[in-house]
Parts: sequence; structure tokens; C-alpha cells
Amino acid sequence: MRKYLYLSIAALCAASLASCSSDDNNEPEGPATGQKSPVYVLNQGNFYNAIEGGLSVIDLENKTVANNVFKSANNRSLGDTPQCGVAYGSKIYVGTSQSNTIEIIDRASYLSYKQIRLSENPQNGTSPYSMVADKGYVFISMYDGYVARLDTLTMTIDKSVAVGANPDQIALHYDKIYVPVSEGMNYPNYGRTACIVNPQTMTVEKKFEVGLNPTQFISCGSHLFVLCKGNYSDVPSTLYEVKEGYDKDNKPVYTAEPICNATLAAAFNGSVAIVDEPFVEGAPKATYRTYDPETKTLSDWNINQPDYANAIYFDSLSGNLFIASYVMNGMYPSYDLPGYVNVYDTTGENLLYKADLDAAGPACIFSYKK
Amino acid sequence: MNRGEIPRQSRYGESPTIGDIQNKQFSTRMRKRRELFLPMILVAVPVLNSGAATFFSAPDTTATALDEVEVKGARERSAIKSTAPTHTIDAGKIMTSGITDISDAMRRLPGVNLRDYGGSGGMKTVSVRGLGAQHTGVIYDGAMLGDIQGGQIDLSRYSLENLSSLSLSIGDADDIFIPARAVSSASTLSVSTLQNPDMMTSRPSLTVGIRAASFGTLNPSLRFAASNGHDLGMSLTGEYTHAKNNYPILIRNGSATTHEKRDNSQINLGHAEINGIWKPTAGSRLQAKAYWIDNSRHLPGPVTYYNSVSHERLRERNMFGQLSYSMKLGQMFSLKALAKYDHAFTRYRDTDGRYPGGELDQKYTRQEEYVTATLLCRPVSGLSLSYSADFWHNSLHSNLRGENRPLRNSFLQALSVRWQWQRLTATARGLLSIIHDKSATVPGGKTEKRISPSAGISVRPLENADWHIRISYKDIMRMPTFNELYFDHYGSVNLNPETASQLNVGTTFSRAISSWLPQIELTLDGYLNHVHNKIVAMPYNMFMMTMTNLGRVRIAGLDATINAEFLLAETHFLLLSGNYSYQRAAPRTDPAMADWMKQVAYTPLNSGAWSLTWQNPWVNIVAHGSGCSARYSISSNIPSTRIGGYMETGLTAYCDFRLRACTLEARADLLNVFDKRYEIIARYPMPGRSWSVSLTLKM
Repeated sequence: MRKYLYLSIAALCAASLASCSSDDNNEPEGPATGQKSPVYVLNQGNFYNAIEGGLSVIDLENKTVANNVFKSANNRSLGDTPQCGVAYGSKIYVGTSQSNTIEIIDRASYLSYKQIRLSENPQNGTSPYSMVADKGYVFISMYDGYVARLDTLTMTIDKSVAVGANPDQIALHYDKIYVPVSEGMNYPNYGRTACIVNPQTMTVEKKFEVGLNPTQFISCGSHLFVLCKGNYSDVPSTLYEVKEGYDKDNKPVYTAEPICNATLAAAFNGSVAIVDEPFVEGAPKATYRTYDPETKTLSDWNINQPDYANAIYFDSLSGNLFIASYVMNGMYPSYDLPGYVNVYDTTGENLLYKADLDAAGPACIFSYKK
Repeated sequence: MNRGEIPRQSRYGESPTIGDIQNKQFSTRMRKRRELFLPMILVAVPVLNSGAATFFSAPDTTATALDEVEVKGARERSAIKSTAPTHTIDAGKIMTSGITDISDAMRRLPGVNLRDYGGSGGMKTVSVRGLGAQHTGVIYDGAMLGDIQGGQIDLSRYSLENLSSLSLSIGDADDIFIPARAVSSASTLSVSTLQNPDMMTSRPSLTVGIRAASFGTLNPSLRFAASNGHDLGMSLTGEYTHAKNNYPILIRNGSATTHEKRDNSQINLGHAEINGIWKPTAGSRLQAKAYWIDNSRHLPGPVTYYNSVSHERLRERNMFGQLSYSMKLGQMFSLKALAKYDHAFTRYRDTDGRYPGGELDQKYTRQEEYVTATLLCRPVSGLSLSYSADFWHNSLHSNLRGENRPLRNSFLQALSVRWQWQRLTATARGLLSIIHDKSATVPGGKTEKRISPSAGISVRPLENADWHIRISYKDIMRMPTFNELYFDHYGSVNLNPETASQLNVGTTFSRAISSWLPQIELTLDGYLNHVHNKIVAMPYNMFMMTMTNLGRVRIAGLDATINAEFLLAETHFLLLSGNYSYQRAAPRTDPAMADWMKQVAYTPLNSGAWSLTWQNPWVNIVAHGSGCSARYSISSNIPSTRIGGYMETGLTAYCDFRLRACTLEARADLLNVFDKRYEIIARYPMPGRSWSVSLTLKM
């Protein structure tokens, strides 16, 4: 029984790591805007059915995909349930939630520089769930209640801060880390708070209330959104915009204003790409929309839809949009069969390429961040 | 078999002491003078097998009964002539086949697909002929065990120390003098313990044993039995098992292989039973039983790359008491009744910072009250009729949120007939099930009613040959478990029962070929099973899975067994035992699904076991093995989920010594001689080479 609970929790990583660009003092420069650098896909596999995940790389120039590149280069597994990743400077950082590792990989050769085993040194948190990178550091939300900071020069975790139960997908917004404190393991009493972490001091600066079960912050230009998954029952998964104001003492106050029902969201060329597949039994009908935060308008998104979207990512370098999907097994999405990624053009509507993966559960897409 | 004929004692059907097996008194001389010894056997068999007959196996309607003679060998004999496949492993065969534990015993049965999570503490369930573990009912000393929560009985809690016999009935066995509940499963595994004292003597007996094995295993046991030599008796058994289970494992990761240990796997198990028997009249008996077990386990979980940390704990406590009464009502009628109360407590804990408060603590309490009565009528010679009515009430309490107090009332009635005419035996049964669930989720409750028929025929074509042809059919339903119905965000209250049909066609043969091959038994059965409305977990969105009646499965297969006994010299025997199963279990839910016509997960196409025993006056030696072909961890059979086949081989040596009035039995086992590393469940490695020694003193 527990495995389904875990599967449900593990599947909560729909990783759209769009965030404000920032400088990397320690890492070499990557390709300039407009160039097409590889896009990375983490496949979670299915731990309880002994299906290994891995790292796939989509080559946009040649429209090819290389699967399981880490294992090919290192002759060993990336680990069980690859959960989150970031390509920063010359390296790729991957967190695995079951194996409890941070793998630091060379971006060119895919050879491992170092593997950090979090379970052997758990005081900075374990079970990595999401990552962002900035100013020579990689910030990692740990599902046991921490945000940890990994120094990319020393390749060690130098600081961490307790943020609350089950922090999910964090985002960097105006040099602050926004953390959704989901309390996702405290079913059905999910959390309603988020917190702001100062990346320099690694302290919690502010806590504020959002919707039920916050699981993902999305930074979109000057706007900040939070996706709250509700209770998978009568409280629907909803996208909120976080508004900053000031109280009478001139202290910042944050409020979350609902935008629309959504189960997946990602920043997309100044807008937010939204997918809503309600949590109902049977074959759900998906609704695809975009939201323009400047005009505050929701528009239909006439996209060539994938079977069952599991993650959305916008690559600001190439301007392409990526949607990872499960394949259907009869009427139901398969957690066992290899998934795929649809690559769309800059309009986000026309399918350019379908990248077939070699493992189930494509859950995290990312590309180079300067 | 004609009235008065004594079922011939096969060496496979015996359950004597080691000394009895080895003793020269049990050798060829006895065979040569069999007729002279028949009366002696009549007396001796009850002595040797005083605990063998369980409440619901005596009187056995499958054979002509001899009043007050409990003949264990009859069951083996009836396996040859039964209308549906029945396979029995008794205490004697456990020894002569070198069977090491309950898991090994299951592998020696044809058609059984064992799910073993490894080590002595790993959960072990059996699926028979591809129908799934929840279609296998387990009877313990006459009363069906139930797990209303998960529907599967974990066999790992049962040791062989106090075991009288294990009997697997596929479909309906020929015995119709049994409770309706005993036929409510597609297959039934009957576990019988040495519960009754020797009623022929007032001398008390005491058996103490100790077993030590690899990986920090220690298992002391004790059995005390006493009677007044006439009509009153009692027995007391107790055992304790401690095992670290930290066996070495190989983790293959790409090109690298690392040597690690299966940590966090220890068990502490205590088990005690007390049995009482009173025979107020020649045709009646009153039996009482109290059972207690406390099993505390660390759960290592699946092998995880780069992470061996696990803090999972499982505590299971179960106690039950049962009272049964059987009596004869004249020459025509017999009556049995049983009442039982069962209480089970399970606590699962896991320590991890992800959980609220750093710990997950789940508690479940299950209770069952059960009553049954069966009336047998024999109006004319060869014809038997029976009616049985069973009622039981199940409740489940848990500390989980959501639906945590569901109830179920089950009322089953069975009407059975058995007709034996010359060389033909026919049985037929109708089972009426009325099951009512009540829960907060479905306030008005939900009722299921169903009539399940079954029938079987066995024919002996030739009068002078012990050759039988049999055909049987059984239709049965399985109610969804409470987990499947009510577990929040996983169960579905809209589930319908899962149904299964079984068709079996087979033949059996038994013969004494010559003086050097005094006994050979062969069975061959082919079968075709269908499962409809199979309850499976399906994802209904990317976060949740739920139970649905989606699956359809067709299983076609073949089971074959051989038991042969070779006489090498006057006191030297070679015993051969083997079984082979072919099983093609194909999902047939939807051609659009990836598993369409593939092989059901964890179901090997080929499986089997063998043992070869050299019995001699000194130390008996057994070589044995069991294995299966490759399987897949998912029914879609994608190549990366393939689990390689295996053949595990073992060696056993046993003997006994007379020490005045006592007998000392010694046994040594070398398991997995070739250190084969394999998995039955993916990521749950089985132990490699290991040893076990045991000493048992009988006074």
C-alpha cells in the first residue's frame, strides 16, 4: 500500500525550473541566447517495479535524443528515482530521491565528478526534490524539510536551512528563493504556507500563506506564481499569482490570488503555460491555456497535445517549449512504459519533434543556465 | 478401495520420526511380511500420526473410514484418486525431501508460484496456477485464516518445527465434510500441526529442539503432550526465532558489482499454542485450541542504489481461540461445528524526516468472529451429502484518516454431494455467498450475492490398474479486500468481486513395478483458468492510483509430479520426488494495452523442484533443488524488467540416535550449495550459500 503513496508523492516533481537569469562566478560561459544547447530530461523510472530511470539528452540541432547518457559514460546507474536537476556552468547536478544522492556530472562528457550520498550525512536534509542555481551555488529543496546550498567550487553542501515539512519545487525570483512548503506527506492536512529564503545568509526571511498544498513556484519575468495541488479531491489544483504589497508598517506582505485551475504550469515567453487535467477517475480531459500576467488574460492554447503531460519546460535559449508525457496504456497513462518529450516551436503550438525516451516517468526537463 | 482395505503407506506419505524412517524395522523385512504386519500398522499409525488428522479431515469422506483410526496416509492415497488435484507434504516428506522451510515447501508443490521477499523474515505468499495470492485460502488446523485487510496470508510466520502436513487442494477436494468457507477460495492450502497427544498411552511426551543457522538464526522449540490414555489429552507447543538475516548480497550496478549485506532485516518471533481434546464417546470429540504469535520485524525494503538506510519496522500480533466439536448421529449422520475468535494487530513504523513529526506510525486491528456447522449424511452406500453453513464477522480499525472502521458480514452455505460407484467418483457442490459490507463511505452498505458451482469426476478405467482420469471445474469469486475498497485515495468502493473459473483435466498413476521399484506415482494435469473483473491498480491521474475491475487473464498450464521409490539393497532406498509446472498466464484485458497476451508479472513459464534421497541405516542424504525460468516484474514484459531464472540446490543429512527411552534427531542442511544469487521479487535478493543444523530430543 505504501508504494502507491510513495509513487504519488514521487510523481509530484513536475519540474519547470524557469527562473531569472543570474551570473555564475565560478563556471565557464555557456552558449549565447539563440543558440541551441542540449535539453536534459530526467526519467524517474518506476522504483517499485524495478524500472531504472536515467538522464536523456535532446539535441535540438539534429533532432535526436541520447538516452541513459550517465550510465553509458560511467557504467553505473544514476540512482533510483532521479528527481531534479540543473545544468549550471560546466556541470550538471542531479538529485535522486530514493537513492538520496546528488550527482555532479561533467556537462560535456557526462562523467561523474562526485557523488554526494545524503543518507550518510543527513543533517543538511535528504531526498532532493528540486534545484535552482545562482552565483556559484546550487540550491536544493530537500523533502525532509530543508533547503540546502551546494558550493559548486568545493562541490560540498556548505549550508542548509529548515523551511518546513516537504518543501517542493523552489524558484529563484529577484535574488530570493521561494519555497512551497507542501506538507505533502501529511495527508489530508496539507500545508498552506510558503517561505522566502535569503540565498546569501541561508535564513528564512518571511513566511506567507498561499493555497492548499503548494508544490511549485514559477518565476515569470516580474511576476511570481505558485501552483497549489489542492487535496486531489474536492479542492482543485489551482494556479495563484503571488502579489507583494506592504502593510501599515511598510513591511512586505504577500498574498496569493487564484488565476485558474491548473495541474501543470511553466513560464513561457512572458506568459504562463497551463495544463489542467483534473483529478477524476477515468480518462481525464486536459485543458491547455496560457495566461498573460500583464493583460491578465487567459487564452486557449491550440497545441498538438501529448498523451498525458507530466512536465512543461520553456528553454529561453532556443525559445522552444518542451512537454514531457507518459504514454497511454489503453485508457490509462502508464507508469511503467517509456515516455517521450514533445518539442514545440517558439509559438508553443507546432510540434517540431518527438523525442522517444527509454524509461518511464519523464518528470524533469532543464537546460543550461548561465 | 474396498471396505476394510488399508491405505498402503507410501514412504512419501509417512510422518514417522526420523528413527522410524531409518530404523531397520521399517525396512524390506517389513515389506516382505506386509500382510502379517497389517494389524500392527492399524495400531501403529495412530501412534505415529496422532496429531495428523485435523478437525476437518476426519472422518475423511474420500476414503472408506475405519472408526477411530486416524490414517494420515489416506490423504496421499486420495490424492491419486481425487477428482481435483491435491498435493500433500507431510512431516515425513519434509525430512525425506530435505525441505528446509515453509518457502521451500511451497516450491515443492506443482502449480505454485511463490512470492518471497527474501530471508526468514521476508513476506511469503503463494499464488496457485496464476490466479493470484488472494485466491489462495489458508486453513490452519481446520479453520480458515482470513486477512480482511490485504487478502493474502503471509506464510513466513509458520515454521516446520511443529508441522504435521501441508496440503494443497486446487479446486475442490473430494472431502465434502468441510465448512463452506473452506471451499470459498480457488485453491486451499491446509496447514496441520501436531496438535493432539498420543491418546493410546498415559505417558507424557516432551520434545525439545534447537536449530541454529546462518545469519544469526536461533530457533529453540518445545512440545509437551499428555493424555490419560483414554479420552482426554492436551499438548503445548512453543517456539522462539531470532534471526539477524544480514546475509551477504551482490548488487550489480552497470559494470560494477559490490558486496554488501542485507541490513535492517532482523526478526524476533514468538509462537505458542495449546491444544486440548476430549473424546466423550466413540464417535465424538471436542477440541480446543489457543494460538498466539508475536512477530517483530525490521524491513530492509527493496535494494536501493547507493542507499542502504532503512528504518521500517513491522510488528504483528495474532491470537485466536477455537472450539470444535464433531459427533456421529447414528450410522447415517455426522455433525461438526466450530467457533473461533481471531484478533490481529499490525503496526507499521518508519522513521524519516519526510513524515510529519519524523515518523510514520500506522496501526491496524482486525477482529473476526466465526461459526460454522456441517452436517454429513450417508443415505446409501457410496452416496454422501453434506450441508454446511458458515457465518463470520470481520472488522478493521486503524489510525489512518479516511475510512478506518469498515465491517463485513459473510454468510456462506454449501450443498455438496459425493457419489462413489465402482470405479467412478463424482462430486458436485453449490456455494451460496451472501456478503454485506458496511462503512462510513457507503452508509447503506453493499451486499454481494453469488452462487458458485463446482464439480468433479474421477474414473479408474481399468479394474486392475491404479490409473485414474479426472476432470473438475470450479467457479469462485473473491471479494475485494478492505484495502482495495476503502484505503483512502487508493481503494474504490465501486469494485465488484473478482471471479475465477478453473477447468482441470488430469490423470494419475500408481503402481509397484518390481522389487527394485516398489512404488511409483505419477500425476499429470492440464488446466485452463480464467479471471474476470480482475482487481488491479491503475493510475487515474499522474498523482494517484486506484483500484478498478479492469483485468482479464487467461491461464493455461500443465502440472506434473513424480514420486518413486527404488530399492537398492536390503536397507538402502533411493527416493525420487519431482514436480514440474508450465504456466502461460496471459493478460487479455484490452488489445490496446501493452500487456496484451504477455506473461503476467512474476509468473514463470517453467518451474519445478526435485529431490533425491538415499536412505540407509547410517546417515540419510538428500540432494534437492528448485527453480524457475525467467520472469518479468511487470506484465508489460519490457526487457529491462526481466528477472533471470534460477535453480537453487541444497544438501541435507539426517539421522537419529536412541538414548535409552529418548530419541535424538540430528539434521544438517547446506542450502544454496552453488551460492546462486537470484531474486524472486525484483530488488529483494535471496540468500546465497548458508547452513542450518538442528537437534531434537524426544522423551
